[in-house]
Amino acid sequence: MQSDGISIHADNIGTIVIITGLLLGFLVCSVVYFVVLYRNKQLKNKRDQEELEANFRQELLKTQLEVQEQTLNYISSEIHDNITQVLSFVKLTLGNIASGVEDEKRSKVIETRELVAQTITDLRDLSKSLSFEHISSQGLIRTIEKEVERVNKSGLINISLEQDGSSYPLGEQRELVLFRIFQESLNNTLKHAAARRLKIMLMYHADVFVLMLDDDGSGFSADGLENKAGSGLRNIENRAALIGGTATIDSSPGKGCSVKVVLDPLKQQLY
Amino acid sequence: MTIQEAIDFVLLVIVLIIGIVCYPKLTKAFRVLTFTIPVTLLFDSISKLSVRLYKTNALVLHLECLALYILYAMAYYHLFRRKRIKKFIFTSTIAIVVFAVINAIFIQPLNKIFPSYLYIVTNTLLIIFSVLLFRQMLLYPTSISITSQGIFWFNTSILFFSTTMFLNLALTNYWAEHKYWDNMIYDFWYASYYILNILTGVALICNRKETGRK
Repeated sequence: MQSDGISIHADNIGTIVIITGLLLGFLVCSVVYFVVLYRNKQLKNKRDQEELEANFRQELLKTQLEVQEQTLNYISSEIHDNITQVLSFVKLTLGNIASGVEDEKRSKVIETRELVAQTITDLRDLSKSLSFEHISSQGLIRTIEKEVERVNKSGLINISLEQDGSSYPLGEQRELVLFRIFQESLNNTLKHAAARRLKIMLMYHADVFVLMLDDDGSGFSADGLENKAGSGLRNIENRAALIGGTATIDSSPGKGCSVKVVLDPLKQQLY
Repeated sequence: MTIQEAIDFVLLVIVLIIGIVCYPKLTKAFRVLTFTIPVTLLFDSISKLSVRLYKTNALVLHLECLALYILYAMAYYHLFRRKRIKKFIFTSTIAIVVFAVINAIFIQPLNKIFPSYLYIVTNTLLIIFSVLLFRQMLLYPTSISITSQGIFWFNTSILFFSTTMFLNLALTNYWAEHKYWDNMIYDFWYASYYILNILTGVALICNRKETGRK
C-alpha cells in the first residue's frame, strides 16, 4: 500500500487485523465467561435459598410441635390433677349417698357412680396418651398398645396390632413424633373413613423401621391426596420429614387408606 | 451525509425514542443513561457544522468527551452499592474536569488538537468501572436471567466501546504516523458506535421490563 511516498506493508495491516480480532475475541470470551460465572452463582444462590427455606420450615414445624406438646402436656396434667380428682370426689360422694338412700334410688346412684368411675378411667387413659413423659417412659409399642386397647374398648372399630422383628429404641423424640403420626392417622380413620377394621404394623428391621396403618374404610381420590392443605395428611408427611423419615399415603375410593412411615433407625435425625 | 453517518443518526434517534418511551419506568442510572443519547446527537450535529464552518471539530470533541464521561460516571455512581466506589467515581469526575481544562489549555489546545489524552483517561476509568460493576454483579447476583438485566447490557456496551476506543485511537495514530488513510478505520469507528447504541437501547428496554416486574 502506498500513501504520500511512505509504504505500509500488507503484513502490518494483517498484524493489525489479527490484533483487532484477538482483542474482540478476548472481549467476547470475557463476557461469555462472566455470563457462565454469573449463572453458576445464581444456581448456587438458588440452592442456598432453598436450603434456608427448608431449614426455616423445619424450625417452624419444630416450634409448632413443641408448642403442641406443651399444650398437650398441660391438658394431660389438668385432666389428671384436676378433672379426675374432682370426679373421684364425686364418685366417693355418690358411694356415701348410695348407702343412705332407699333401694329404688340406690341402684340409680350406683349406676351413676359406675359411669363416673368409667369416665375417670377413660380420662386417665386419655391423659396418658397426651403426656410426653408417659409416652417416653412407656416406649412406642406399649403406648400404641394402650391406645389400641382404649379404642377397641369403645367398640368404634376393630384394631389389630402386629409387630415384625424385635423392637429397638428409636429415641424419645422420634418415638413421640411417630406416636403423634399414629394418633393423627387413627383420628382420620375414626372421623372420616367409616372403617370397620384397622391394621397396624410395626416393622423393626436392622436397616429400616416401618409404621403402617391400613384401614378398610371409604378411602378418597387422588384429588383428595393432592389437596392436602389444611388436612392431617400434610401434617403426617411433615412430621415424618422432621425425624428424617418419609410418609407415603395411598388411597382410592372404596379401597381404604394406607399410611406408611419409613425411617432409617441408624440416621439419628432429631428435630 | 455518508451512509455510516445516516445509520448512526437513525440508530441514535431510535434509541432516543426508546429512552423517552421508557423514561418514566427507568431507574435513576438508566434515566441518566438516556440523557447520553440526546447529548451525543447534539454534539454530533454541532461537530458536523463545525467541520463545515471551521474545518475542525476539536473543540466539540473536547466538550463531548467530557460531557459523556460525566453522564456515564453518574450512571455508574447510581449502580454501585459500595460507598468507597461511589466516592472514587465522584472524585475521579472532579479530577477529569480539572484535567480536561488543563489539557484543553496547555496540552491539546481546545480549538486545534483532537483530545486523545482525555479519551484515553476517561475510557480507562470507564473500563475500571465496568470491571468493578461486573464484580459487584457476581457478588450480588439476582434471580433474574442475566440477559434480561439492563445493567448487564449497559456494562457490556461500555466495556466493549471503551476497549475498542483504544484500538480505534491506536489505528488512527498508526495510519496518521505513516501518512496513510483508509476508510476501514471509519467503518471500525462507526461499528463501535452502532454496537454501543444498540446495546444502550437493549439496556433501556431491559431496565424498563425489570422495573415493570417489581
